[in-house]
Amino acid sequence: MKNDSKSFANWSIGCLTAAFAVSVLVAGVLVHIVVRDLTATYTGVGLNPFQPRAADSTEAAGEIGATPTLIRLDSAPEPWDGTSRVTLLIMGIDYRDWIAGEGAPRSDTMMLVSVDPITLKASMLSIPRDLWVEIPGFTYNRINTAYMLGEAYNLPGGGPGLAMQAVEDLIGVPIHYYAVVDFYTFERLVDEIGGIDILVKEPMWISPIDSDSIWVEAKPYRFNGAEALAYARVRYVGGGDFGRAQRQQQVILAIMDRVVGADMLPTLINRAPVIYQEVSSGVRTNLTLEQMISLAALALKIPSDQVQSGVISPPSMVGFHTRPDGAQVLRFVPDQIRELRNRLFVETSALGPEIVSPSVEGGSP
Amino acid sequence: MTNIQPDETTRASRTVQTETRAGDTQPIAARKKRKVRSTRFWIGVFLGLIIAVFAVAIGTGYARGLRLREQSQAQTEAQIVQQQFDLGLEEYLAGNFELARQRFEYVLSLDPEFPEANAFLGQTLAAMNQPTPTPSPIASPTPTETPDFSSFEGTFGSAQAAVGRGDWATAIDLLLRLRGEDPDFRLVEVNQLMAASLRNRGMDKLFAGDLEQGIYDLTLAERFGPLDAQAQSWRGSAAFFIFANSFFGLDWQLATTNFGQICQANIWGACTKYGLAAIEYAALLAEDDQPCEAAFYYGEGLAYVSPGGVGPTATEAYNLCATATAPTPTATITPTGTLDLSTPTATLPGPSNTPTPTPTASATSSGGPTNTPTDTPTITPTATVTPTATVTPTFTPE
Repeated sequence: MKNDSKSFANWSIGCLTAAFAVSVLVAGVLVHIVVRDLTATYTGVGLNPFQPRAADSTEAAGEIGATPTLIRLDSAPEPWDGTSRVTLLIMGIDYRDWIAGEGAPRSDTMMLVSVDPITLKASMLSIPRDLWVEIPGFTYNRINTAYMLGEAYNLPGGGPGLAMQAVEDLIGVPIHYYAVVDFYTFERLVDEIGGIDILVKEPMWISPIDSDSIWVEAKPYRFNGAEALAYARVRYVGGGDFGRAQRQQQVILAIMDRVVGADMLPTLINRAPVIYQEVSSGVRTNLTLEQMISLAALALKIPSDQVQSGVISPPSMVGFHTRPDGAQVLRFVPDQIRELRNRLFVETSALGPEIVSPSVEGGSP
Repeated sequence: MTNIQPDETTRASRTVQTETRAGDTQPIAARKKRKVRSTRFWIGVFLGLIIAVFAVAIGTGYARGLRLREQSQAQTEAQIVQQQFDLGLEEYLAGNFELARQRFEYVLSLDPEFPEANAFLGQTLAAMNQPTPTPSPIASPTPTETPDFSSFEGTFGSAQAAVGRGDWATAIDLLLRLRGEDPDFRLVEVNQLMAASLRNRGMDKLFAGDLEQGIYDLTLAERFGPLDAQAQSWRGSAAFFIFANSFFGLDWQLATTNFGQICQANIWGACTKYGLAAIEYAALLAEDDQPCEAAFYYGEGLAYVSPGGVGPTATEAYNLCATATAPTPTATITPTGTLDLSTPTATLPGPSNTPTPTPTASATSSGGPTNTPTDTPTITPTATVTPTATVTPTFTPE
């Protein structure tokens, strides 16, 4: 009797052990599949809705009347060595234009973000979309057409490559990477981090996509993704496009503040797979996953008072012009833009006679 | 169950009652302890097993995912290469040789062995009247020594070597690495090399036509000390070119005036831009009933560019002007054959706003550069900061 109960106990333990081992193995296989798929699906270029197709030259030529001639596009970005300044062109794109069959979209937002890993300073520069510039390989046009032309002509490097080249020719700062963010992806990413805190500076109507307009007062708000996007896109209040650029920078800083917040780490870890999927599927970039992680880690080290921002705006940096066809565009004033560029990118660079670390320098920018 | 009295002499102070089962010589407390140890051991084994299984799963999953990603990327790259080659052929057949060249070069940069890309690139270059000096258009990288990162001195030596061979970008990267690791290491010498490398890279960019990029590098170099006169002159000219360019398509008069000044130095394709701007400005003048001024600028423009469809308009402006200024109002000129407006046969009254050879004050007040550009920048720059830095400009004036 004693032996029976002992053998039963042993048998039970054996069964439990076997079941446990099988469970562990099954879980291991599942983890293997998830990790494999996540790694394999991250291409480093994310969303590219413009599948390779024949160049639709009539699409752009109908408007521009030009055939691209000379284009200087790099096929691949230089690998980031971790010590040199890294500059990223962030573009906001409304893919609804493309979905609606209106051809390749123009970039709705263009912002240059630069981080210096030695001085631990960062800069943001917003570029107005109506700026009249020479598009490399094409004639002169608004700077936001560069993305569209690169896509429409299926150029090497695509829209982002041509946009990077146009901005680099304008600002002079080497641009290493790009990130094209779809509106919907932006909304979902903000939702994933639980919204962002924004101090609205003047009352205005904001119009979230597919939703009713909302009146917001001049006071602090926690915006969800749709509201944050709507706030960043408002144009018809004081400052027009230039006030809009400032609000976009405010939103970027709010996202940074939110991400580095003390209570965010568990959320980020918990939501990492979802955030990863969102970034992977809705952000088109030439950054590798490893570079994105390195850059994010670097960005988190930078004190918020060491982030300088600027907007190319009137009256000194741009002039309003009306083209013979009635189009309202902005003429850039090179030496004024150069002064802003120097303040944001030269004075904060480690390429100087000595390095003044943020802790030593102190103060606010 | 048998109770065993504890030895009073040795365990008097203890109240623990020890028990053993019949025939069991182990105390119950010790046995429990062993059991706990045994349980902990097995828990540890299980936990270790779980961790090991998950570690292996993550590791193999990541490795497998990477392989799949690489395969997918290779497939995508092959598609892109094929697509760009096909587009290059289309551009070639359509006569868009410049774009065809770009596409073929892009194809070869991704796949140097791509069939026929080399041949078509050669044909494209031939069509552009450019030499095809090498069988492969992809420039072979110049063999360089492997940077020595083992010590600060080693890195510094590598940076010096890079400066010596004119590899400014590598020199800057190495010096920046040094600066990042030890900001005070050989501060003066590192600064000298940095300044020279930035200055010379900036000049190279200016020579290559990357104007704002060159100005940016020169501005960085200027943080270390004043620029030499030659660099300042080139920077001023580049700034003035960009200033002129900002009016292109917006204000043809200012574009013409400013490009007219740079055209005298004949750099960066300024004369082509001057020609285009002059023709557009002439068209505006013609619309504004100023035929003589229009004819003058048509002549100026057509001397440098010959866009289609301009000839008749230019001829009309020329005739109107000739009629207006003819001594006998009844005489008319009927142009026959091809009219070469670049060498006008009649002396026309010059416009009141003929470009002047130096930048005007109005340019500066409109946001133009404060540096007065040199009309003919010299192109034999030499490094003044460090004796090892030399510039071998590839710039060829048009």
